[in-house]
Amino acid sequence: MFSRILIANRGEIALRIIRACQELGVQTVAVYSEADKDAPYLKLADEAVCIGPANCAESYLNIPHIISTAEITDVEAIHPGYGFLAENINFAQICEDCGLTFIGPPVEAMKLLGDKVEARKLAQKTEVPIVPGSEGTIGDESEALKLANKIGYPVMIKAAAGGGGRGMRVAHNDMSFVSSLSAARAEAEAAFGDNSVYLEKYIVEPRHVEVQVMADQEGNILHFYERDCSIQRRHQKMIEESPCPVLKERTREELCNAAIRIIKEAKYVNAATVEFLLDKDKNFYFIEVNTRIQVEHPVTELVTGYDLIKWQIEIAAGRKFDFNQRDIKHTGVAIECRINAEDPAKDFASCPGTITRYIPPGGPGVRLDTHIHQGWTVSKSYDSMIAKVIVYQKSREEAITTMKRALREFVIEPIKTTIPACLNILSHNLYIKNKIDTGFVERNF
Amino acid sequence: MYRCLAGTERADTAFEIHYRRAAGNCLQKHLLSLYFVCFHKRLRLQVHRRVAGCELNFGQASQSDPVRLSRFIGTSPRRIGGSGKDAMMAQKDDDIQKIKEIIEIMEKNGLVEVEIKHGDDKIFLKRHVPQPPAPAVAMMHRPESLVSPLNTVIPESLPATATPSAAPKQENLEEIKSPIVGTLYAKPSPDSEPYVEIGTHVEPQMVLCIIEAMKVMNEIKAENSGTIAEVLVTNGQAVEYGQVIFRIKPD
Repeated sequence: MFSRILIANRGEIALRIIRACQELGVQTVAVYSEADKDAPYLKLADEAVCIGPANCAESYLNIPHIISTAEITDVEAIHPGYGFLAENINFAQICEDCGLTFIGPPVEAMKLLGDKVEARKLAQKTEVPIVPGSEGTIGDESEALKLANKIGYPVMIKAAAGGGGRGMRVAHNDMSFVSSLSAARAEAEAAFGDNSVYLEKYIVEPRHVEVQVMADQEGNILHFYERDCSIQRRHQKMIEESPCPVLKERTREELCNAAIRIIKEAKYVNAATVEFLLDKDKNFYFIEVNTRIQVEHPVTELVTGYDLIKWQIEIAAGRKFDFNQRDIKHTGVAIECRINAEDPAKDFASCPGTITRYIPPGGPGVRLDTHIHQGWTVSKSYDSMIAKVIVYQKSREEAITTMKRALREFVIEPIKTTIPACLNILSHNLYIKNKIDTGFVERNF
Repeated sequence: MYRCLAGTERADTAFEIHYRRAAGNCLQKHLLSLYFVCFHKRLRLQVHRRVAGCELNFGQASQSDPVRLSRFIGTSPRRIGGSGKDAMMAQKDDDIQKIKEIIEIMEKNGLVEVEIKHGDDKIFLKRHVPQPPAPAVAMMHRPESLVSPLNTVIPESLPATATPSAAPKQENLEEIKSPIVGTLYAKPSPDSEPYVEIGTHVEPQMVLCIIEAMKVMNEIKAENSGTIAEVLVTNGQAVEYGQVIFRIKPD
């Protein structure tokens, strides 16, 4: 086991990793920017080193400063958390070159799965369904029509050089396809100077379902079941739960095994999340792999009973799993609400500021992962997520009840937070009845 | 807190000593509780280059030897029948002897704080060097120095320093802060003179010190003309971003 590691992150995940290290008997070095100098979790670390000003690029993304800190504090490994440098191939490579263990996947696996096109190819190779689409950009109209029919309507026409939702059209039949195709091409030409487009099956009202996977250095790969993260707004997850409430056991097994096949083929080590879309007919399609630990990992920890952060560190230190897939059971239901410093009434505009009154939730079934406290100043330099409330109960109904109770207790003043928005979602009829998809929040709130 | 003038030649040096042995080593907290915070927090000391410029000679050991340090804590023979009062007293004498040794070492090397940890056993020793008047101002040296020893000030280790450099902050002093994280070298090489000292007059672009990060030597230069009023770091010290290195009185 490592004697000392550096945590290249901040906020709640830095605190999470410090806690895991303290229980493992590993010393910790925390880094901080000038904006975080008063963070209380720094005092829990064995050493804390200032690495730059508030601006991320000069601090938490500043590879030379972080590596230099690792040198002067004599650490053996670096845990990157999530975000920041967690999926930065360059950083992982530099760690390797400097003789520091990067607590995450090997560089090659990160590279392979980080490239979406390569990841799709790998999924196909391992016979995991992917979102059907054209192999590349499409040629003339007749070829495009044939392909659209082969994929099956509705079809999305996307600009190859595009982004930001522009140069995209959805077509539901041959007639609208032809007009949509020329419209998409025109928009693409105007916006990006390139009218090439490709086709993808348009998954109607999908659910976002992801599988937690971990692999040790000896090639043992385990899944820890799935999480449903369909409650999203502008592709930012708001509420996550496990298990996915609409998944039948048979599909669950196929899904989780598909995730393992991909991770195995990529020769991956450590934690990863394999993301899928689930359509109305419960068919799943591979989207991408996140080659890091995720924000919503506590949901899985609660339903399976395994400490994923500790296992990340153990795996990186060379330890192999002392349990196998049969030992991992999922029981009960866990739900997580991300609490952001944002004002739902003002289109979720971010609300930095000082918290003058803070009363955290508690009681049975409630877990709170946060770094904030009374007197904490939420900085405008960083992500607006300030806390995660996770509840765990025997049934989904009880979990929702407990979550609503906990959110009502939670006082964070005077800044605005997304607590009211979460309460509204949890009280919504469609959410309670599991009739949701990734468009639910934006349609109803 | 117990003030002890143990084993020093200078009667004016007071020691703040906190000492605690973990339960099960037959001593609980006692009056002399001893806390050592190792100045460089590198008590592992596997990489000796990091303490270049600050050779630590621990008594009989001729060089900084990480293994030897274990004799100060954690490995003393357990007294058999340990919970008896005699055994406790004997252990206490043992500990006091060790404390005296460490105090001497600190004196010899101009150390202000030392910490030694071994499992649950911990020793922290902090030396109070007499300060000039205006104690309220002297406290501006971040109290977190206990937690981040990277910021610890060593008053006596630079030559020609008549007074401890923890002088009260004066008005209008320009602060030179470290722009990076790394190891600071006050001299071009171990045998040379430091780049600057208190009283040195500096011009723009003059090299004040070097900070090494990832094998790259970064020159830290003066921006304005002035005179070095305070030097807050020592040769070989680890520095973090924003740490104040010098205070300069502008011309």
